[in-house]
Amino acid sequence: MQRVILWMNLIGACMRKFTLTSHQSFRMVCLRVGIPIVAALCLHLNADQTPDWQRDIEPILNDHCVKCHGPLKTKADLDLSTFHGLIKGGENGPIVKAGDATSSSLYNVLLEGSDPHMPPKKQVPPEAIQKIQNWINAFKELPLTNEDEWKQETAHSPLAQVETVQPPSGLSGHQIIDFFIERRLQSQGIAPTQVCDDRTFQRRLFLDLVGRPPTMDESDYFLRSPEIQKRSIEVDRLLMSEEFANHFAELFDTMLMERRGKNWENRRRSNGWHDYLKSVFIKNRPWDEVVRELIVARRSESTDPGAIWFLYERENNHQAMAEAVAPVVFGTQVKCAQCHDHPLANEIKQGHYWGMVAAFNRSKNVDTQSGIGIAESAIGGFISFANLKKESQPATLNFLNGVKVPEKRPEPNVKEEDLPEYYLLPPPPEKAKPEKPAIPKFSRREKLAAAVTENNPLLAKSTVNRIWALMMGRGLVHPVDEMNSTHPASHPSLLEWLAKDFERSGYDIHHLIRTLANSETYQRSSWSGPDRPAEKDTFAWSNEKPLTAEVIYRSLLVACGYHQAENMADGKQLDSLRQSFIQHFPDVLPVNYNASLQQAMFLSNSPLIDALLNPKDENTTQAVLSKSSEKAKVELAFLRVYGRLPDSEEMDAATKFLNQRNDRPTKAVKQLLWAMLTSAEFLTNH
Amino acid sequence: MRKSSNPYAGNHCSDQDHRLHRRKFLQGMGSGLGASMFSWSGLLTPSIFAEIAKKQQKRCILLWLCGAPSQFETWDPKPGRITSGPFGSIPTKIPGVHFSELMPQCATIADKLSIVRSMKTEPTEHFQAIDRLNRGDAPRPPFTRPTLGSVLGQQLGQLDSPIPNFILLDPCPEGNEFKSFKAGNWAGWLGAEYGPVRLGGDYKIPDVHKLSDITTEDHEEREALRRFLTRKFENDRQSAAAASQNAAFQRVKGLMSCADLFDLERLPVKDRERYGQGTFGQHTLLARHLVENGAPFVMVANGMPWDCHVFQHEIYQMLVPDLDNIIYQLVTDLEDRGMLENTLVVMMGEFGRTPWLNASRGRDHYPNAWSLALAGCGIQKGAVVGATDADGIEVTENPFDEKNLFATLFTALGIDPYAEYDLPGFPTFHRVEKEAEPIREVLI
Repeated sequence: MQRVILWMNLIGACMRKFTLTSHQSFRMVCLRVGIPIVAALCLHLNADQTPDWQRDIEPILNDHCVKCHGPLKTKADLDLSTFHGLIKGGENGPIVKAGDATSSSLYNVLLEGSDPHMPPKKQVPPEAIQKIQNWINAFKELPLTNEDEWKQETAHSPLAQVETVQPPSGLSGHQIIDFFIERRLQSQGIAPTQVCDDRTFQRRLFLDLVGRPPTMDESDYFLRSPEIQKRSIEVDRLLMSEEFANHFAELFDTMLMERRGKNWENRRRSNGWHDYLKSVFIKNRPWDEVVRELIVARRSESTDPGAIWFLYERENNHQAMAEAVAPVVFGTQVKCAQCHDHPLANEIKQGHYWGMVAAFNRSKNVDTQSGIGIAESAIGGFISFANLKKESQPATLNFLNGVKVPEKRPEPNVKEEDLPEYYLLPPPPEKAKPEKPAIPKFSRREKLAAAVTENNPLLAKSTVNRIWALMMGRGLVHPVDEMNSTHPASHPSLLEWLAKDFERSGYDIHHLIRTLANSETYQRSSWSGPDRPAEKDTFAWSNEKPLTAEVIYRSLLVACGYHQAENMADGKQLDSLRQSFIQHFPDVLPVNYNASLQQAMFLSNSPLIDALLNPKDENTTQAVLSKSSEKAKVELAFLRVYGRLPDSEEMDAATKFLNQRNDRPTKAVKQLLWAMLTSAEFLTNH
Repeated sequence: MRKSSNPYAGNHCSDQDHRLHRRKFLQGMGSGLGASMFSWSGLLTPSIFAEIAKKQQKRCILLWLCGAPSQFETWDPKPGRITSGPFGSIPTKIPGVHFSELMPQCATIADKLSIVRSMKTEPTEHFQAIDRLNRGDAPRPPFTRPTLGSVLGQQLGQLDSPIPNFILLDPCPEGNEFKSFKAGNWAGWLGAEYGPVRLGGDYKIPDVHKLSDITTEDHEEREALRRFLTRKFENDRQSAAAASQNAAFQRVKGLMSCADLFDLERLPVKDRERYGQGTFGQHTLLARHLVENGAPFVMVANGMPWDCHVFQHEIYQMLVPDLDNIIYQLVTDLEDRGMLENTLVVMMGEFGRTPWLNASRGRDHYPNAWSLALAGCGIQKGAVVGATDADGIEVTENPFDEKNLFATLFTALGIDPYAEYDLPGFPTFHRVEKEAEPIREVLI
């Protein structure tokens, strides 16, 4: 019986590691992975002890070996980037002897002091060598591999049909999230934290959805509400607010366009880009339609002209357009495929990069009688690209999700003629200011837009993953812009389910956010205690999210008692405060968070921040000062800044701090508030 | 120096602030102790560390002559030839070696400098050449190689140092192509923390001084309370963000304690007069002051003044003697202070100038044969390497390019020039590619 269970486990593991597509036969499973399984069974190892190629071995080789023994450089004719290449060996023959690590050069060259030693002048850590040893020893016989089949099979691409687990029926969306998260937690033996209290939930939700903490009034109202469903009601209320649209417009502006300083911000504003994004989120426009508008970039009765700015700002730089679109529609950066196929994620080909460039290279910014626009030519744009071996090939409309758009190429040396009949809206005669930008009958931009918005599962996956990362502090695929075969999802079945659900909902962003926010996973406490493991991808507790520039700025105004910005006399000063935050805290969803010296210096010594703390009217400093006892002062300060009451340790420290400054009460309160406003609890969402 | 237990009170960094990393200490001590495994903490107190640090720490000053000076009017005159222009040449301390007559002071310390007269590089336009000579290699997009300052800041400095590891003194907000270069990515793949802190003229470190209405004690205690609250948050939630923020605030404390080091006004008037009243001279003096106080790398620039396509000779009558004096003051000051041995001084632009004059009596861009000067740490005294033909048109012996130069600079400072960068997901990059040879003749 035990053996049977073990067998089932191993088959399960294999399904995960090879992501077999349905047409691939079981014969191949046996051929390629069955043998190590049998070997493993004989050794009575269970699935966790037998190193797995994709999970354990491939990353080691990628980190230490593939630079010199990979597709870009293939020293000794040895390509360790694929299982096939490793089994095949190099110019000196095979490097793995089944079941015998000590006779395998792959193992021997890694040992300390070995000669020859790999990698030269470096040492692979002993745990990694151990894994390789175990892996080799688990083979009874080397599997036969065939390069072509292997290539196809190892495209662990996000497009590959994943063997997914189906959630039990009868669960609602947010429960399905919890089902998948808890399923993995159970298998890892990790206990999740409890659901957080109402105060914590409300602050978290506000910061995520509207980019500021709740005011005292909002907080009182929420805490007192007896409504059982009040959390989900609050989610719905915020999603309908203008502040939500504004906050998400800011986030997507930065993610789609990057921060380029104040002048560009002004140009984006005056060209309707900000208003367009805002309208997307306030009207909850279907996301596939939005993506279509960004790529087609044309004025129409139904399209807000602000959408044009997405391509227009790239000023005819077609590569920049391709590089900006790829993460949005495929979830991955493609920059490195400019010069060669992706060395590790082998589903990303150089042709995909240039195919996407070709989709834009008939486009040109124009100034028309109806405003700015992007004209598209009906001819030209037939480019070629060369790989590192200087082999040239033509770029065709060939996209990362496998879509190939047929297009007639002119014969070499035949000059194309630009005829009006090629156009729905022809370009004007030379030098005349066109009425509207030219539109060809065969539009490459339209073809790309169709290819990425119709039957493209990556669009939903990448969007779901990005919103998940914003809400949960880490993508299911991390980093969010690297959704490719080298970055498998932490919860593949969940990602798959969420993406399908997003498609079914008609790419409804509100629906997606609502589903996430109502899950227990979103609502867990971040208070895990000291023993928690470092991994952030378990979602067993709420991951901390460092606040972005605009959110810190607004949170500061709320906490200092300036929620209604008109309370501030000097609007100009407010804007320079906002700009200073943007300058010092430029990141949105950074791969790794690092606080900088400049940030800390700005928070410490900027007169702009200090000005918010001067007592005035009804602001926080004034309100705290008006309390008679030190204890009451500290309580109010904690409520205003952290949205909670102090514990006894904090109360002691803070009252002592105030007491020592009896002779200068205003300064005392300012300094207390400063210490709280610049602390990690205030500067993160948790 | 005022006595105070308060770390903010003094004008200078405390000894604690100069505490060395173990790695650095090992470098400083040479290889003898390199492999030892015993604990340092019991062996030496921090103040002893600091003393050793002051004496042994290697540093570098780059006098960046942006726009590119002419080799004919500086290090490689061609007396009697038409290409040499109107200025004559003068003998130097090294028998048989002449400098331009515009450099009388440097002529007297030629035996302390090394001159390379056979630089031969590729780019002919400023931006590309500035990029090449600052990074030491041709661009390979999409990867960005770190500049010399970023590499040296990383190699010679300490991440928790109170003084920035890479200081760029450049008061000029303009500077044509150099302006564009300055706006770009200096630190490349090392990461933004290795970029320069820009100072000089109106460029002050923003927010480095405490607010006027808070006392030093309050400022410090306010920070202690912030730290207490953040530490508590960190412990309860294993917060990496909190840890990172506390580290950043710790560095603020260090930098604020050193803020006065950057104040030119605090330097002796006599010194300021010696370096001349021009900003380049004043900033070279400041660079000396900063390396004296522990800065590992300072780059001095002043926009792009050397690009004289028009009336070069008239302008050079002002520019070159000024530079001549500045180099003289810097090198002799460093020597007088016993710091020349451990301070590498690099004096260069991005290329040279044409042997022929253009219609506006200027010289145009010329990367084919140009000169630069080095002095100090790891550098021979009085070496003159390479040569150009009689008219300075071609290099006749030992052509060197930017890779050779960078290999030389790293070797001079005791840094492995060919070390491989460990960059996950990147192609293999080395500090200097292709094992390009250093210019052996100028190395000790």
